[in-house]
Amino acid sequence: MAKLFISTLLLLLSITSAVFIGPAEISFDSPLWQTLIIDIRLPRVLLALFCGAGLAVCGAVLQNVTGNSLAEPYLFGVVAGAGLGATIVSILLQDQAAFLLPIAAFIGALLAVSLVAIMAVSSRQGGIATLILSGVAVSFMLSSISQFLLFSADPFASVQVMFWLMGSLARAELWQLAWIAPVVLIGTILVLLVHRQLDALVLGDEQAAALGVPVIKLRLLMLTICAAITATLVAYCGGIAFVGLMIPHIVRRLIAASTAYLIIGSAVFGAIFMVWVDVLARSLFGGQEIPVGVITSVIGSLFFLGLMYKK
Amino acid sequence: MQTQLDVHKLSVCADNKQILSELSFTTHGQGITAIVGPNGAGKTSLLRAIYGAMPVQSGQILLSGEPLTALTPRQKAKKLAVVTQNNVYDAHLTVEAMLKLGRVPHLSLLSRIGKKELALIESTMALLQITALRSRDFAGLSGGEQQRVLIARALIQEPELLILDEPCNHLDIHYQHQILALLKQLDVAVLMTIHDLNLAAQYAHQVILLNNGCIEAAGTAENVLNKHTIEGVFKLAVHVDRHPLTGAPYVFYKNQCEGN
Repeated sequence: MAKLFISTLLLLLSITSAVFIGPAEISFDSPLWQTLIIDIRLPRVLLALFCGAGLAVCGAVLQNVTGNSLAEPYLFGVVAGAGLGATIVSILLQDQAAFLLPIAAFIGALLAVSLVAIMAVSSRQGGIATLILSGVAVSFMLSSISQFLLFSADPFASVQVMFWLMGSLARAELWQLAWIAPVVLIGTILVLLVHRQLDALVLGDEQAAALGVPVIKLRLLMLTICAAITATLVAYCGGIAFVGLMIPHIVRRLIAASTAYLIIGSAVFGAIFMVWVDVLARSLFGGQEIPVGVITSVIGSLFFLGLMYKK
Repeated sequence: MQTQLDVHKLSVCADNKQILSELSFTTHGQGITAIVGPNGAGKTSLLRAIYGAMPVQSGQILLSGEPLTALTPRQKAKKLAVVTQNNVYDAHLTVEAMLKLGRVPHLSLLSRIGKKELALIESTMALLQITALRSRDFAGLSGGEQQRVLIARALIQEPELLILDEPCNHLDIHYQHQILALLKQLDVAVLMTIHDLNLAAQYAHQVILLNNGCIEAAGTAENVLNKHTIEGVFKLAVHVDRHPLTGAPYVFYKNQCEGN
């Protein structure tokens, strides 16, 4: 409890300091203060917060319901699907694509999740292995379609899609938060409501069922919630790898492994992490922005290599 | 209230294979009912059919007069607790969090664990001598400790009937006897499968011998565990005598290579 409280304080501290860090120095009495801090930086910091929190919560939930510590939000081909949507819009509409891109990406992400869900439901064995394997297969299928389309299209579309896939919070605007914040918040609350049932899953399906937990329904509900959160986030922010995979691992070590603590801890830590990654993204090279997905991938891969090395 | 489990003409079939055929038995009150029999006799399937993990083809299962198949999984979980064969070695939960899982069927989504529940958890930990383990990681416990935590979890469920599948598997003799002695003293009816005939004879007040999905013999250990029945079912020459300390029947197995 105390640890969660401290982490929440840390998050608040991170938010307040993050809005004041950036390539442009600004003083309180400047007429641009309001524009820069409230209109430009605050939406970005808040978008980073919900993005990190949402991805980390989805990672934690998926790791629990699949019983696989390598599960992550992009497991079900969400990024590949969103990428295909983004690709088609970029090729068809060229430079007018920016507005429609999130919508197309969202539809693509839903397409990928539905394909995986249909595979998993129709397969005779059902089960988690089928789900994970169909996720991988659907991912590769949709990516190859995107790559073929980009290969035959003009270079401008390729560049646009590539930058989008690397993930960015630069397009942040307050109206996006009106979508993202409720999805992440409601999803997290729903997950927290069934935290005891999710804990019971560690006993194995049969034992959990003997505790009266509707195992299959619960798993389906959790997958749906994660798909909704991830598809929304990917649509606006592109692909941001490793957050959903890494943060739950850290929280299990630092806070606790039982679901209630794991979920809240993942939300807080994911938020802190993304807020600071975004600060790095916009201030590391002066005016030139680094895609956030690149930074999370570097940190994430080093984290896991370090973890393995220690073991 | 006396717990009574009535299994009436129970048949179970899986993958077109008859696993249990028209099985009937009754258990009365507290104490251990041990299900024994060779591999593939249908011991685990019988338990799974009773707790609802396996579809019942025909027949009835009544717990204190109420048909179990008519209950929702949650209603059922309030009446019977299950400890499956231990396969959760790597579950990373503290012992206390693991024990709280026993309250899952009793709590609605918004309710929290209250004082009464915490007291129940405390007393059950004391009963199973696991109070000192409360904040340890379940995955880091020894086999005997894990088994005691899982049984405590099942007791915290406050069931009328406790079902255990091979509770003594992978335990050394000290824990085998400790756990069976404890199950025998409990205030609940216990139905369990067990491989070791001598442990069954020593601790169970009723023994059910299964063979090929049928009941070969049922009753007290004295009635069930005799030379003729055991040799017929297990295809092994035996000598049955008495345990010098407890007086329970004790089975000695002859070495097969030496013949008679």
